[in-house]
Amino acid sequence: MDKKAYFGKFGGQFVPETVMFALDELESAYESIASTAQFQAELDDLLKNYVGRPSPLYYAKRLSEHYGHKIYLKREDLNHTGAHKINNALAQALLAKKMGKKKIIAETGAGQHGVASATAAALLGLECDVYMGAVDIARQQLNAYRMQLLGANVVSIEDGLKTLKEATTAAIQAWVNEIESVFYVIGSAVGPHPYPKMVRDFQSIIGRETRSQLKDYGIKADYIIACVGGGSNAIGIFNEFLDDKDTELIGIEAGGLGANTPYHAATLTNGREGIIHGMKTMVLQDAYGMIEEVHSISAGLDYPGVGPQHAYLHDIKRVKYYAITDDECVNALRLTTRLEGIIPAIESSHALAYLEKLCPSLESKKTIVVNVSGRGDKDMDTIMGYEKGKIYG
Amino acid sequence: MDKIREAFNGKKANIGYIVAGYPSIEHTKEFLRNYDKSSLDLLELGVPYSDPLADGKLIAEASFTTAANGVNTDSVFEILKECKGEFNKPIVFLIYFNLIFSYGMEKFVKTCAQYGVSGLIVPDLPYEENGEFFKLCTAHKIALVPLISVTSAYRTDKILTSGSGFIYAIGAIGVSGSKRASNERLAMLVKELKSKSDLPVAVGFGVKNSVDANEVKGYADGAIIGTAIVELTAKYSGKELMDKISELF
Repeated sequence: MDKKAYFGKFGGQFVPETVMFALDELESAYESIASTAQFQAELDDLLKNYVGRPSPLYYAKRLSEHYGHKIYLKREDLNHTGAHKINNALAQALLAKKMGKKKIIAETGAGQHGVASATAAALLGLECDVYMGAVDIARQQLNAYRMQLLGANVVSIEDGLKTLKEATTAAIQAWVNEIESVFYVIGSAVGPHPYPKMVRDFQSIIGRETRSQLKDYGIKADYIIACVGGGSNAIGIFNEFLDDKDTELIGIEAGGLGANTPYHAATLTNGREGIIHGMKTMVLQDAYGMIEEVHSISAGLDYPGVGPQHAYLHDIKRVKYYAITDDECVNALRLTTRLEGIIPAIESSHALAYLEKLCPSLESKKTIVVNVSGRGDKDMDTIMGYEKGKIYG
Repeated sequence: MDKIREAFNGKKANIGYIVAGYPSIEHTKEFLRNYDKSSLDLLELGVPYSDPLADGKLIAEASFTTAANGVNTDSVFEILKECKGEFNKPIVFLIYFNLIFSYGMEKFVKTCAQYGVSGLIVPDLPYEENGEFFKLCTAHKIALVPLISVTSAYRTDKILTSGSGFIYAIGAIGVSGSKRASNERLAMLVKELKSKSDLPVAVGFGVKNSVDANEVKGYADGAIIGTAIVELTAKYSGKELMDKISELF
């Protein structure tokens, strides 16, 4: 395999032969269309005037006082549709349109990528099918309805645990069935090459803006923290800082009831090398390679794999990855809401929860950036009904 | 002559697919014990997997359920061990790559050789990724069956450099159980493959019954039926199952 498809030993293209020409077609289109000044100008215009970029880098004064360090929040929650997902969905849908595709399909867990894809499809006049696990549809009813209102067809997946893994498998199967005419908008930095690199590139605007905003403030970040499911918001902010050896990068996985219990989605903490959804990466699997069931309060982090670049960054120890439990996440969500008047998504609250562990361990005052990948409006039902362990039935 | 080549020798091969351990391990053992007396010339034994992304709903469910019931790679080897000497026709595994990778590629290929597995079909291991594994298979005289689709086009020549046994021409643009591509498109693909390779060419995906099987046998060396047979294995067993399978060809 061509080295460009890999990050170290992770990545590649482990998909049915029928799909391979579509990946080649996508790679060519990405190189020849997405890199043109015209495409970039059109995308920049949409990101500025439709999405509302740049998103602020907000100094969280009361959180800073609480923790005794300078805490900045990168406000991806303020994007149109409420999360970083729109950056990538809009870019991929625009590419699909330029490639002459009439229809896009997408998978979604928390619903944010589904909503972003449905929004991009409505804006650009494309048909859209969104694959979503039945359990996630129940957890995220509001988002499922938003997608329908936007004109998307929400396909409920009843297999297995009925969450993101099954939705992704179903979306790939559906993609194979319509491979010559549809464009698969993958929602995270996962899947076969060229998706992990393409999604990373489309999300890197988060890191580029952060760098520029830090420069405007005349400061530099000592720590950057982001949550990791597939890992697109994290790679989007990390990528720009990979060469900054003075900036420590921290990825936070979903620890569920505890990474030492069977109820978590802490792939880098507990997984091992394997193949899932077309990529070689770290995978939660049993001794025979059967993909394991995962659990998290957050539908968006509830995934047994992780983007291959994260697996690589973990391998070379450039990024440190830790797991945060459901309880810790909910506490952080409540604290941020009370102190800052910002209700973060459950996913992002995992990253915020790590402040509780990091800050007391620091000897001198540090500057910490947390990527608030999305807003918590969609999670109100989950938070209202949250009791430890309840979601595991 | 190797067993796979023998299955195509002087006839159009009938190739069937079942999920190992579905609906039960005993059912699969009984199937293997009746295999030599059946109309099948070659059997694809699917190793159950939790995430069979190239499969349609019916096979995916059978595979997922069987995996969830605890049937794994060693269970499938155990089935072959218990049935050793009770059938002579060739077996090839249809197996997703993570199961092989997890087992250890070399250990897996050696164990296949030990239990008389003639070949492997790995639906999520395209040419670009199979170099090391193809070498291991060749060293242990296990065929690595190349899959080629009507969408492969310019990739065909490359794919043929690292495949053996027979060519699996994917008859549908879609997962297993999907609608077959047009006969014209498929016939052209098979003609191209036969001009480029000495390997026999069998068509699978989208072949559901005797009408389909006879159509593809018109231009290919064999027909592969999967979904329809898996459906039958859930309802029938023993000689009755083999009779029903015969009707499909």
